[in-house]
Amino acid sequence: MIKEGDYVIFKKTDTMKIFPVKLNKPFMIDRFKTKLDNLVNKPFGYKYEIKDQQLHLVQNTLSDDMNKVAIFDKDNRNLVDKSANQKLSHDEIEKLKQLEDISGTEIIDRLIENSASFSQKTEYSQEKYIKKKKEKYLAVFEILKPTIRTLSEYYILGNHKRKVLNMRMDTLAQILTYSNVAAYRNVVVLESCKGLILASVVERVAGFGNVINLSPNGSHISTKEILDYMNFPPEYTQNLYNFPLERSDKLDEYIEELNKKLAIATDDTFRDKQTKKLELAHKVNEIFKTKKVDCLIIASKFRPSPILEKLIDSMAPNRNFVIYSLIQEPLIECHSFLKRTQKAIHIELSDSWLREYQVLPERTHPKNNMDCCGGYLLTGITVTNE
Amino acid sequence: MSFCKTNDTIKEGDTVIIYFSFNQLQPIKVKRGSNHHTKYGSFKHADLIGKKYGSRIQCTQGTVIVLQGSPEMWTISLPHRTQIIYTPNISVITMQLDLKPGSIVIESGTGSASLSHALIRTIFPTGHLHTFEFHLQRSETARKEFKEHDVSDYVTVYHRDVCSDGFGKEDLADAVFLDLPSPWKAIESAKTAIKREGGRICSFSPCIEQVQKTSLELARLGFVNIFTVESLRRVLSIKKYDLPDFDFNMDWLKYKGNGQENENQNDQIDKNEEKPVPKKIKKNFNESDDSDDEVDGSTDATYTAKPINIQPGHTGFLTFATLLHKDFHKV
Repeated sequence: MIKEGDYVIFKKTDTMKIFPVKLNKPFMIDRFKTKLDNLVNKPFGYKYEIKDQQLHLVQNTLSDDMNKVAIFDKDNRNLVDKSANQKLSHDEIEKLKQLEDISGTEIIDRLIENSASFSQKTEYSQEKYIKKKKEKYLAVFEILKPTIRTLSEYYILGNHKRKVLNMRMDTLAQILTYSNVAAYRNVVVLESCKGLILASVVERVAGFGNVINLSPNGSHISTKEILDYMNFPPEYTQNLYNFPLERSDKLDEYIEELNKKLAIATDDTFRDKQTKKLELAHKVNEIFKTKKVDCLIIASKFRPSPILEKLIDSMAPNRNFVIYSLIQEPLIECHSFLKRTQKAIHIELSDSWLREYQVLPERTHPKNNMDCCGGYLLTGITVTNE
Repeated sequence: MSFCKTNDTIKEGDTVIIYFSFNQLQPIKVKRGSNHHTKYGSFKHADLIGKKYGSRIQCTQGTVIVLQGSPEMWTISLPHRTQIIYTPNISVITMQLDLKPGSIVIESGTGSASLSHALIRTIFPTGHLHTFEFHLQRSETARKEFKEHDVSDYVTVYHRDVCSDGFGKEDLADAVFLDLPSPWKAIESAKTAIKREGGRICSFSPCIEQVQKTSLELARLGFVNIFTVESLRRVLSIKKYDLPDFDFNMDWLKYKGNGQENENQNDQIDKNEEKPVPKKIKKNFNESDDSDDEVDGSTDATYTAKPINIQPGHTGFLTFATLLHKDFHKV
């Protein structure tokens, strides 16, 4: 059920937007103004239409075309594509849209009335025409729960690919299985995907293990976005440690430095801050020095091989690592390092391929466009040379 | 040892994976007093006990690596009783079914239990897998394996034909996975088995005709967001990039090509002093065998990656759908 303060995703066929549910506060979604009050205590997944600045539940029509078999009783031999087919001019349509009391359905009816070619179209292409116009003129949105699944779609559909390093759903899914992330693991994550990987790791560990989030300066800002959307229960994030990447290879010096600072601290807030940092450093040191890292995931904007060289020695033998890159070369470099040092076996460089299908009676085929850029993964298992 | 946890040392009774190379892995059960014979000679099981996982084991003629049984390793080494689902599809299934610790999952059929192990790993310690198989022997073998792999606390195996008899569960599951010859026959019962607040369903089918029937049935029963994908993973092998430059000043008449015999080689070299004679060109990455990565560790070499020649081009279609809240009435 949707609660006040939750984030919700608004989805149309090819757009997705994300908003927090606030009471009595209007939002602009596309060009429609609405309040989200009607969503509270309702389940996710339903479709709503914006009318009179409120959300109204609509009958679910999504699966209707599944039951219609294509009837090819007409063809397009006499159809000529010209703008004169639509008798309403652009200006007239714009004026229609400005009218206060007109609904999207009425606009579509007028468009059909004034279309010279509509009646000559096959039933299937008439439907396609209406569907296209509905997308444009109706303010109907599907209200989705932010999950790793819907969020990874959100970043791809919402044209925010670059924010998540083009991380496609299937590639992310593979990162999670090949790294063997699950409960009772110590997972080290270094990512530049707005927290997409971190959030999926936090969800799969579910508070039963430790998650160390390495970032420059230990800043959580760049990875917080998606964790906020996910709205995890507190026990999920209690064992999440945000630690500075640049300190991860000199933990002893860092602890010494913090101890020194603490010894001369006079100010209480400063002392609290240093004590917290020290606790964090001890926790990370304990996991790193005793080689207790179970899963290592690197998907960052930095060159991975020097980072891998520093971090791999903190891993126990027979543990899994996954490195993601949009291009092959940085991973080939990692591969050479691992082969040279014999620190790992079963090292595989791979890419992934994902194709969606339109499945309709008599009209089943692969979708016309596909995302061809799923990036590359280097996966492997650590071994001991003792 | 449990397949869903990570373990440090090998104990008696553990199922371990003996690793020779990418395609040569063998699961064995460690039993004191037994010997294991490999192509590199033999070793005693007793020698494994107390060793660290990920260690090299000395056989009489070479070394092998001993790995812990994990879902991914099990998938590539398990004894096949049926066609199995491989890790790329397992990954997408797990993500699209929104699985995490605590999820209750229903699966049919159990088959060779490749997917089952991965599902259990993701949903343990608070979730549970209910796995249904209509083949008596397969269901018994799976039950035995789950016990040996110390995951039986998180899984219940049923011997049952879900297409004719249904799952016999109500308002229980967060997600249902179907890998059946006629999945559309089990969807109505799957709907009953899904929790009142709704859930996700996935059907895996190799043929498009099955997908069409399944999608129609899902729509008929009120599932939404029905979509079908195909997901593949392509492995690339890493090769040294070393193409020879063509020399325009060579006497290419004297070139001794790959595999060609030049009988009078010595005579001709003597007679032809003005122009140098090309040497046999080394095999490059275009021709060389795919099986292994060519990395000798030298840092100045240039490497490139190239897909391995023959790889799976089709496994199956994955159809997903959402069931919305059962009690929420439409306007």
